[in-house]
Amino acid sequence: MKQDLKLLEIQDLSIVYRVGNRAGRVVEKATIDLGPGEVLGLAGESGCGKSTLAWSILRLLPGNARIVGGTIRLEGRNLLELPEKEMNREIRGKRVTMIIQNTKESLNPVFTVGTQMSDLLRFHGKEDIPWTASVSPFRRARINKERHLECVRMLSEMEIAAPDKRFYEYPHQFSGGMKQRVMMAMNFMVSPALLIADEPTTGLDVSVEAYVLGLFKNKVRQYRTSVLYITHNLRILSEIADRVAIMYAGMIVEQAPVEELFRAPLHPYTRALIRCLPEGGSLGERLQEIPGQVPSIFERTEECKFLPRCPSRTPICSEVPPPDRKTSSSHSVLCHNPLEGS
Amino acid sequence: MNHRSSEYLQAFRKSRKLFIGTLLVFILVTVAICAPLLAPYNPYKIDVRNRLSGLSGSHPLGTDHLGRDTLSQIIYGTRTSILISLIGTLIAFVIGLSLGTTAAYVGGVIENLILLYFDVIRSFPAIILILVIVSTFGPSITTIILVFGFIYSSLLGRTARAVTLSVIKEPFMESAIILGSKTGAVLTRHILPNIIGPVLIVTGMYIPFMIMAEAGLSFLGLGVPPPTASWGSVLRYGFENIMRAWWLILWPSLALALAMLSFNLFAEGLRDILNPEKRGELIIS
Amino acid sequence: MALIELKNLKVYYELRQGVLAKVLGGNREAVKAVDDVSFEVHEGEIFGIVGETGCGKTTLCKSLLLLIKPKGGQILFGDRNLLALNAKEVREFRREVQMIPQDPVGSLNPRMRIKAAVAEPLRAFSQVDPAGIEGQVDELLKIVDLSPEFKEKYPFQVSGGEARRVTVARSLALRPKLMICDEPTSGLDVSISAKIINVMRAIRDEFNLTYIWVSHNLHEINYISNRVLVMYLGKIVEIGKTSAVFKRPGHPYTQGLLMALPKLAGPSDSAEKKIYLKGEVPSPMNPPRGCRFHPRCEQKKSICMEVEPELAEVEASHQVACWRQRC
Repeated sequence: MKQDLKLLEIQDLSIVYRVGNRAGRVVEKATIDLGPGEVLGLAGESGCGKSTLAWSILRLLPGNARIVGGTIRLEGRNLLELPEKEMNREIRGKRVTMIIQNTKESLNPVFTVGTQMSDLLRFHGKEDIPWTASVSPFRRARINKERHLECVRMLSEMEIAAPDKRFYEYPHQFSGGMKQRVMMAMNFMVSPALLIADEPTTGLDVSVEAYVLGLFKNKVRQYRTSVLYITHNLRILSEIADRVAIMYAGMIVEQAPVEELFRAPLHPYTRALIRCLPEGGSLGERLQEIPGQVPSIFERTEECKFLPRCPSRTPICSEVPPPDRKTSSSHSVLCHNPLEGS
Repeated sequence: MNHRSSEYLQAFRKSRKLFIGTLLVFILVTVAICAPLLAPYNPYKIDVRNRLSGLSGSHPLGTDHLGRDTLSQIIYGTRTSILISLIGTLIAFVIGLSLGTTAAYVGGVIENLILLYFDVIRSFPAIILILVIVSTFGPSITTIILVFGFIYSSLLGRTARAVTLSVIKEPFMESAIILGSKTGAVLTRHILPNIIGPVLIVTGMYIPFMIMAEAGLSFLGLGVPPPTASWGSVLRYGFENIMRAWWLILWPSLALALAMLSFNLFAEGLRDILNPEKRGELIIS
Repeated sequence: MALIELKNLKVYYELRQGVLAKVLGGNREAVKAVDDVSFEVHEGEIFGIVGETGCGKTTLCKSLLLLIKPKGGQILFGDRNLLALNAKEVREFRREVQMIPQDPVGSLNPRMRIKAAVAEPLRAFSQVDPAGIEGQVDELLKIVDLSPEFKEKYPFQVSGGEARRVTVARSLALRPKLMICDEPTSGLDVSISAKIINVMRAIRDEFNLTYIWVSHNLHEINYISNRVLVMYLGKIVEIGKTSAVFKRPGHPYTQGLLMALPKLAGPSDSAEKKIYLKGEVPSPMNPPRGCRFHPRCEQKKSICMEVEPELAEVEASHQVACWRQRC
């Protein structure tokens, strides 16, 4: 059955943030899935809820967030029902890893890179000997050395020059692109089933970004990891994603294979987004804008959130919430009036 | 303008801190000003028959070793404390703020000179400095006010300089220059509003410190010349008669604590209300 | 008609040395942030500047705004040499050249309301009496499509895109001739970027402005600029009409940048995208000898490692600084 092959299945996920005595709907009935070895891009503008969705998979949401509905199944298991201890032991950093934009938050500045990498191996490796155990120092040393070699090997695999020297260096001695490669090493080192990437290359220079992305793409293929790639940069997804889900105001409005999505978008928002890009317009023409604003999380209702700004709206849009239409086995749209595919 | 003053008013009403703080400060200042009207006795009136008498109907807070009414002394003491601390702090504020900001903004030799002044003052143990000055110029309220003012100006100045330095690095300072603002405008409209918060807090802290310092000096006999009524002097009498007259220690201590609390609350509340973000939060809450 | 012309501009940051080093006589190291840069910007055009971290574009902008004192060279504005102005003239000059800063929220004083922020340049030059200032502020906000209710707001109450528009309105107050736009759309969502670009184009047309548009978004530069300048480690490596530079990039660095650019068209054709620019963006502290790009260049020749190439014309309105292009 095709269903059984899915690695990650998020069904009708809804997340609410409490601010003061108000509740904001940040993610609403989101449904996405990811097959093994697949790269799913999750795209949307700021405030659409994509990061919240990603962090909810690891159940690392801030204190005022509540998951109020839906399921997150990883390899068949509902992560939302897992006890915290098991989340820590089995899922976080092992089956599901993450690479984020801000390297200052991901790498601890007071420990060497090597320490941090070998720590990861310790926690998720097969052999971890507590220092109180009575074990021959030779065995201990051998294991440490194995870990050291493994880390150095990963560093060189990420094309970091002089990896054995770099092992002993601190994060601040690495450049931005290098730090992300170190993070990639730490991610792939444990061979996760799912890698969540939250805008890892935003803020890097163009050439560095291209380089890191190219490397990322290769490693994903090599390790056959599934990736949930979050970004607001549609162009990047064009290069590395297999399928893309577009998010707007907490809802997944369209999902399709990447080429199809950009060539013939079905949701008015997707099309508007693509048209905003400078390469969409020819020189001398005004760029297409999307009039209006994203609705505040406190003002969201059941009806279509894009309604006030939608050029294809019809009366039914304000009466009935938009249906999730499947136009093909791989393309779905949340809309009453999807555009004609060209 | 209506819009703005009502904003401040709203925040004021909502801010418990500021409200209570202002209320207490108001009470203290009123007591200080209206001392003659409030005090039941002349604090200097000696009545040896009633010396060291405990709390009673005619002397609710007791008397000291010369029979002077403690309640009246506390009330008049408020005057001393408020006078010294407010004026002293004002001096410290004016000198410290102007020197500190100038040092940070102008830099160079001038900054070094100002820092030198700060360091020299701070490096003298305060007691010694006060001793020297008091013995040279004789003890008086004016002397104390001036000495406190100068000593605390160095602390305040350092704070002002540190905050100014961090503000100068902000991008909006560069924008101000690009837009053609002159130095005066930059100082008043950009630097000042952004440093006033921390500076006010520090200033608010110093008022009670000065009150304590004066009390301490008077306690040691170096402060206001006797028989001027002050909390510190009452404390001193209490200390000398500690076994027989516990009340002489209790009341001034309570008064000191209350004064510190009020000014602290007031300063913090004021800082909050001046900060647009906090102000907004107060109004919403 | 050249509005502003740079001649051999050199901006060096001297590194402070300890007393001991000075005594022992080490050589004075300097970071050559901008090293012998010459170009001109024509009136009414949108002149793009492209480059990565450390290329010197920020320093270049700061020198154009007279915030940094260059070590050498000239900046000619009209017929005046900006580097020879005295303090009073510098202030007057500020009316003619303004900047859209990279960080709009940080460039607004958090304690000042929008109204006061936009009015600041007007007050600085005592242009209008207090009553008239409010009217001018309203007008400026209208130009950038912000309703008058924004006047009373504080910077923390507005979004990134709105703050950006406020800085545009503010810079427009004195009706400058030249606007230096430092990454006007960085950090903004796609739809908001589009709006900002449209607003800025409309303003340019209406007020006859000239823009220097600094951006790392090459798609944007391609769309909006007439001519473009590519900088690398303090030097100009390519300059010319945007269409020419983008279609026929002459310098290997430009070629590498364009190749590295993620494109919407889908990479199924270029399944193995060639990455020409390997390695890190170098630091300007110790630039290589000869052509500064040679360590990362796939097409280098022996001369590239010894002698720095000069800008030479490869076609009309298109110059490249590369030895490959000369032979």
